[in-house]
Amino acid sequence: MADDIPFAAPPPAQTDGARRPRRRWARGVDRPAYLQPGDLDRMMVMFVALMSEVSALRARVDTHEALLDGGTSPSTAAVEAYVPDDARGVARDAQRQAMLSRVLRAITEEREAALDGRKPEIAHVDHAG
Amino acid sequence: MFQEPHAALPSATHDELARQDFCSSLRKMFTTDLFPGANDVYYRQLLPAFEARYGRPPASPQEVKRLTDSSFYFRGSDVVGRAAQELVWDTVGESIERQLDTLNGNARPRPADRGTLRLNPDLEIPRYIDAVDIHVMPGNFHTELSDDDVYAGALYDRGVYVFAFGGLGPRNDGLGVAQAEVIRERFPELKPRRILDVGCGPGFTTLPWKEYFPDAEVHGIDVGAPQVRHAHARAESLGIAAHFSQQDGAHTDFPDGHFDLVASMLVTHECPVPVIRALFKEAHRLLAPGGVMLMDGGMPPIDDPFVQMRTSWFGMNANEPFSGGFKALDYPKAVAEAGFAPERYFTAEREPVYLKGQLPPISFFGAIRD
Repeated sequence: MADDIPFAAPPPAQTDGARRPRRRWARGVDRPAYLQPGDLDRMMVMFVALMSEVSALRARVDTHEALLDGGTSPSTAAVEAYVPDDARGVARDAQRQAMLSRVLRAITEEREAALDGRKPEIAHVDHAG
Repeated sequence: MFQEPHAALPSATHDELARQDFCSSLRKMFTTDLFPGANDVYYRQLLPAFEARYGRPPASPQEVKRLTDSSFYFRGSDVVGRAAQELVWDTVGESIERQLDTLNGNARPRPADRGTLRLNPDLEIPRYIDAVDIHVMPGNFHTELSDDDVYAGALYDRGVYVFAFGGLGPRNDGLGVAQAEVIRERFPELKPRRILDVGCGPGFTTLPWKEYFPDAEVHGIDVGAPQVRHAHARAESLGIAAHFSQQDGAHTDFPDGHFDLVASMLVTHECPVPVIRALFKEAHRLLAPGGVMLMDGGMPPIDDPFVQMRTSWFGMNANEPFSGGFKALDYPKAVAEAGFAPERYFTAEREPVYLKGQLPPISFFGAIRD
């Protein structure tokens, strides 16, 4: 029974008879090109801020778990009042560092290649002058 | 480790604290992993490739910059470092803005205070301070958002703790303690009656003077009214008597020869060279005979253009446009031109307060007033 499966995928859209799946792109003029080269830097600033939101959300989930582990209902007031003990604080710090290592891997892989004595998988542009 | 609480320190909601913790983790990763890791990429990959191609190493920091710009490691970690810098102030700033009325109220002087607070609403904010938000901290050290405002002081107090992931100690005062230790070791006979901390901010470098020299009258000055308001409230809450006033260290209202010690920490590298010279000159005027001026800085010249470029990271990425001029300054000459006898110039070093083994020693220089 599908009801027994947690997180079951939604049933496929019915396509019998005259129905076709909805089209998800618009006809007409192409999507305009919005971003300019310098916008990538701003995107990175936004991306790092978003990492902060994910990290805060994870901390909030962890607070819920800690409260429930202790038999406390995770009400808004209980979440606000919660202060992690030292062990939980250290664990959260380790989780944040691990998350950063995973998310920023595309940056650090070049250093790992350098430490392994491998050539990086990128072409270096001409840089003298 | 937690920042030591005091009555002027902002509080944080669950999520505000979680975001601040993230900022600290990000700053820690940048500072202890991404930044030093650049050495591996440079010395193992970029430099050998450059030398193989051109038969010589890069000749200048500019040439090094072009070489490192060819690497995503440098481009990616630098933009993350810059984003972290912006995120710290924005994250802490939002939290402080929410509770600013309360913080302003907590900071108001009270009749039973041990120390004093003097403000000067007519003080002209120098253009080099008003035009450049140092550390990309919006509003810099002086901007006021409200009456009796402490915003920028509270922002720097909490922000520095988050930024340094607690590395300057529960009171952010590690550098102030280092300064006081330099004086106590180097001048064991000095019994200062009055001490001045120039550019005191929230008082991280002011209060250690009182702890090391309890009999001295300790003053902190800053052009930013929010800094001295916050510094006063912080000192009172910590039970330390100090006197804070809103003044420009280049021309104060203290009489000639009023102090036995004039010190400044992490201030001069944010000042244009003419201002640094004016600070030295004012210190000379303010010191009594036998008094000591103590400043941080004065690192030996660096030969490797890569190291030169890396040590100007904050100058290039975090709005410290004057740090290059400070680094290039001939300190003994500038101190002598301010009126000190050349043979009274001295230097000193201390182990770094945080990031030991990674940062070079803290360097000091100064002079004794004849």
